[in-house]
Amino acid sequence: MASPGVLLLRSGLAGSRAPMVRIAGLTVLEAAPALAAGAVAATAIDHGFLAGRPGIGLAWLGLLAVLHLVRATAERAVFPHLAAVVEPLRDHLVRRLVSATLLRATDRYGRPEGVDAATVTRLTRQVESVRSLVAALLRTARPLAVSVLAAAAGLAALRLSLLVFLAPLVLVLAVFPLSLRVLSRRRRMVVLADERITARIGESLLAARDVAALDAAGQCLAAIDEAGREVRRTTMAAARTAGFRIAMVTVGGYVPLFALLVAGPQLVAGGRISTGELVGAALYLTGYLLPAVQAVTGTVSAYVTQLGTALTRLAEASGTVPARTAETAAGHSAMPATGGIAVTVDRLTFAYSATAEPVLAGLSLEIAAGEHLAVVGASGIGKSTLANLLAGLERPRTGRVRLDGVPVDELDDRRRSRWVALVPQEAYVFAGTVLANLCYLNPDAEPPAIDETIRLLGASRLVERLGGLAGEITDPATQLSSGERQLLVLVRVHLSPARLVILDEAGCYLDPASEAVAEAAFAARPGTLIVIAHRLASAARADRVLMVQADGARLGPHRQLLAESGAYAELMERWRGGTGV
Amino acid sequence: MPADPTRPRLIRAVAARTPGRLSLLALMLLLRLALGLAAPALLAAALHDLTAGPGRPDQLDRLGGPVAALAWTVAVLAATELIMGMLSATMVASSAVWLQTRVVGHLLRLGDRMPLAPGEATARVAQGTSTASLPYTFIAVCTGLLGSVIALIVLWTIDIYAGLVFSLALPVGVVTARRFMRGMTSAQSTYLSIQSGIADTLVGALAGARTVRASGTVRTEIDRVLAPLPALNSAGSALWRRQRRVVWQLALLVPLVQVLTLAVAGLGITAGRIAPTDLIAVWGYLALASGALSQIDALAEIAHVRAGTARLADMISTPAPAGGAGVLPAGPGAVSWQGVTIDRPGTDSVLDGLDLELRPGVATAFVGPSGAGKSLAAALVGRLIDPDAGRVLLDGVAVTEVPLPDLRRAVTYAFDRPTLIGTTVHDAIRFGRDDLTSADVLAAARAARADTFIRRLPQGYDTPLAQAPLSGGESQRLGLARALVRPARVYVLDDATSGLDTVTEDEVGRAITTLLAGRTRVVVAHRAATAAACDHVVWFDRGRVRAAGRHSDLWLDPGYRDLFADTAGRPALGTMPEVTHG
Repeated sequence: MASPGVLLLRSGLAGSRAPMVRIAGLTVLEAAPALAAGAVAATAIDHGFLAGRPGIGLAWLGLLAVLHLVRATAERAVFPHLAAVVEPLRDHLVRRLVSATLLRATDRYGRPEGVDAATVTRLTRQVESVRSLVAALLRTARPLAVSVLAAAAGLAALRLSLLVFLAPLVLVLAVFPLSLRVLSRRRRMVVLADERITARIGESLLAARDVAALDAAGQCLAAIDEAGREVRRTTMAAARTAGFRIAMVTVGGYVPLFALLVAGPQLVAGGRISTGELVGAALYLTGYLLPAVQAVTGTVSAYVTQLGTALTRLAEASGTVPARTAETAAGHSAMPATGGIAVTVDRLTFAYSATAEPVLAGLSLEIAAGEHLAVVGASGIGKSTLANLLAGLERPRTGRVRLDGVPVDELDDRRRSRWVALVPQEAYVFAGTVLANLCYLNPDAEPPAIDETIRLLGASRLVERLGGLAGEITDPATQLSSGERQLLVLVRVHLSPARLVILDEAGCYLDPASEAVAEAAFAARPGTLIVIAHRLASAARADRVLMVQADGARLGPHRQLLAESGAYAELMERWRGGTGV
Repeated sequence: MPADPTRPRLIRAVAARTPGRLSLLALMLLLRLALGLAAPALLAAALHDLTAGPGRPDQLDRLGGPVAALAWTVAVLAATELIMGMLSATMVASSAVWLQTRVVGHLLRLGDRMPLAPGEATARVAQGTSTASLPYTFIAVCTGLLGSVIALIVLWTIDIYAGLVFSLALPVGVVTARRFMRGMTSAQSTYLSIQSGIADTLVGALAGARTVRASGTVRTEIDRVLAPLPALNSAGSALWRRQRRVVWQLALLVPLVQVLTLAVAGLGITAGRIAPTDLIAVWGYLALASGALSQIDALAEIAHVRAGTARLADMISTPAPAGGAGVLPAGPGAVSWQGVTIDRPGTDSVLDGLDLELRPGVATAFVGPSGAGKSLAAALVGRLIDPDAGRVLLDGVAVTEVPLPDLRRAVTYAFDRPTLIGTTVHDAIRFGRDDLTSADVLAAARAARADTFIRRLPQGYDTPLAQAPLSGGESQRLGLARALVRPARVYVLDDATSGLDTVTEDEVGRAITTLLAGRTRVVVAHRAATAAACDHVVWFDRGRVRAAGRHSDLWLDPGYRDLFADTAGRPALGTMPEVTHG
């Protein structure tokens, strides 16, 4: 088993030492019948039932009954401790996995990952299998392993020489770990294949509307079926290995019994073993050892390999979490109390990779505190990249962005996010109350201020429809249109303490009137405002306009650009063309 | 849980898929059962021969009998085990894949009608695969029970008193086991649904990754996703408590009954009713007979699977839209809505007796405030949704009369927020239509102004979709290309260029006009420029047509101009006319 998985398990069980110790203590009690059964049967027969003294025989069997009572009580007592081990383990795994997945998806300089349906599988299936496997191992494997030892000890107590018959069993158990490795590898392939098919299913269901509209279910199902073939192939390979092993153990486990049966005549003839002892020995072998060995090498080893596979996958999924700067609040601490942030952009160059053509080349720019700047330019020219750079979410190849003189990359996450609010096109509204969504960036917002902001942004009707601030949004994707989600997010950002707001086409799904209202509300808000314009009307509303073009950028007030820049005037002209007046 | 007829149907359907293999497995289970039943008797016989006394000369020969038979039994048992393991694993795996494909197929047919979020649906499909093993598990449990019954009968024949004692204890165990089953299913359901809830919130948070990243609120998000964890913990603990109650009873019941039976058999030895070595046979059959009661794990498994199956069945209980058997006649793509009403309580979306004839072969803009019914009316044409009343005709035939594949080849859509699917960017554009050529894809991408940015991707058109960093506007253009590449009669562009800046939108608009000249287009629009570029405009208001006509004519109505308010002379835009007219 790979060590990351073991480490994960160990960290998950770290707080469960006390219940584990109690479970281990109970195991001894649970093994009592296995230890005594053969000896009790032998004595009961030899000295009781065969000797014509049934009372003695019954008394011995009574002892066995008492031991079973002890065992059942121990088994019952295990459950609370079992829950105390397994439930916190599951909590730990879910916590680790959720944190790691989210931290990775929101790494400051990373590329935000898309919705990964495999995450859903990992969460629900792997975690659940670790939970049930650990429980099963604690419940079954533990007493079984002790039963093997107890029955062997009982056998030895009966007649020490009988231990010889266990030699083949020891051999089977010794060879056993070798096959375990092959099986683990094959089971891992099954898990991977399972994940692939679930990923296919996830992406198909995510696109269900589009697939229906395109009548393309056939292609989705074909992809799922292809992944299914892989599932079948890997399952077959794993089943082959597992099957051979179970068969081997069945044969191997019976060998001691056959040895006893073959050697029996000599033993009986030599008077070295009584009838009761023979029955007792057979009882140990068939009643306890064989079932225990079969279970240990069959079910239990399957549990162990499955557990190993699931833990390895979970460790991979929840490992390599990017280090967060949030906790290390280093760097500059000087910060003006209120008002906007002055932005200085100094010879900024950015490209997505070393070989790719730069998206921005040598851009320099000064934005005064409290200024309202619009950024215009064709789609894909690098406006969103600029927004990310200004918010400190990308590392430039060369050059620097300073906020109030502080290089943005030296701001820790906490301060950076308090200073700057970047609002992307895709509005993030989560399931929860309207209030929780609106106060997301400012948990201390007072109700009057919230109401005022809602009114200011023209969101009153929407909030009312959702049942007011206390209204519950259960499924944002279906309950709200894209524009409505954007409106809620705009209210949220307006309420935030951010002193630099960057709207990256944040109102593109609003109708133009609503977008104008929202933008006016943001312009009236104290602080610096940068609007990546989606409609050119946004440009006319700004103090100054930055026009980003493939061959450089131009900066100036709207009127000035209109007068001086042919390209800008043309941009405006084409936009005006549609009004039909 | 209310009785749900879909659930048993689903399980039966799984069983009916592989009747041959299932029967073969049943036969092998029976064989294993027979061998298992023979083993204790053979062992007792072998031991009996051993103790029968050294005085017999033929003892060694007689020893060969039962011992050899036992050896054969064990060998065949091992072989059966081997074959059964492989057969059942592959059968279950293939049934699981079949079941997944079936459920997903149904959900995809539902499309927008899908009753739950994709994340939750995926989790349910993943959890529900164990349904595939249910027929086999069921047969295995039945065989186990049969074995117990036979073992009991054998017990009676060895010693009638031992059999009697054991039989008296049996009903108690059965009652306990049944009680266990009932409680378990609902407790499992609670647990599973809390678990799905967590998964769903996580998927939601991942979708907002860019916002979370920018706002530095990842800790808040983690806390929010993990909020139901204590509830999950207590649901899990409740499950253990439930198990504990039953397992304890069975753990005590079974061994006590066994010891009691052994005692009765022991008395039989004293009385000379049975041989001492028969005790080992009694023991063996007791274990087999008790097997039925101690099959708690199998019962728990079935309870778990039943909960999963109920959730699967629940998902496919929403009927998928059925296509008609009619033929779509050749036509220009004339669409009409006749008295169409949609009333979805709790949402803004309504259509109120909509009557509308679409002019074939031209572009018609659908404009109006949010919730006026524009997108709903457009979605009806390709039956992405169905109306509550009224009907929609395409070239004179009700769309419900046409087979769905034909309808969806005739009507194609581009959405404001397309969900792209496919292996590569190229594949995503022609998804579902691998009969289209690369030249078609290229032309469509050019028209959608997607060609340039696609070429900048690491591997151009062959870039894996998962590795293509796409902005909202870029995926919108790929979605547009995906619609344009399909030869269709009616093109519905549902706000499909809203994510583009006005310049790009203008370019795309011109390209589409050229590419789709003469085809019917429905353009759901929010911008004046988009509406102006169309031949005809339909103005929606509260689920009805308020007015229709040319954009320039409608523009005279101040109410119409208000729809596009920021182009209609707000203070900030006061500068505009002097420039454009200057």
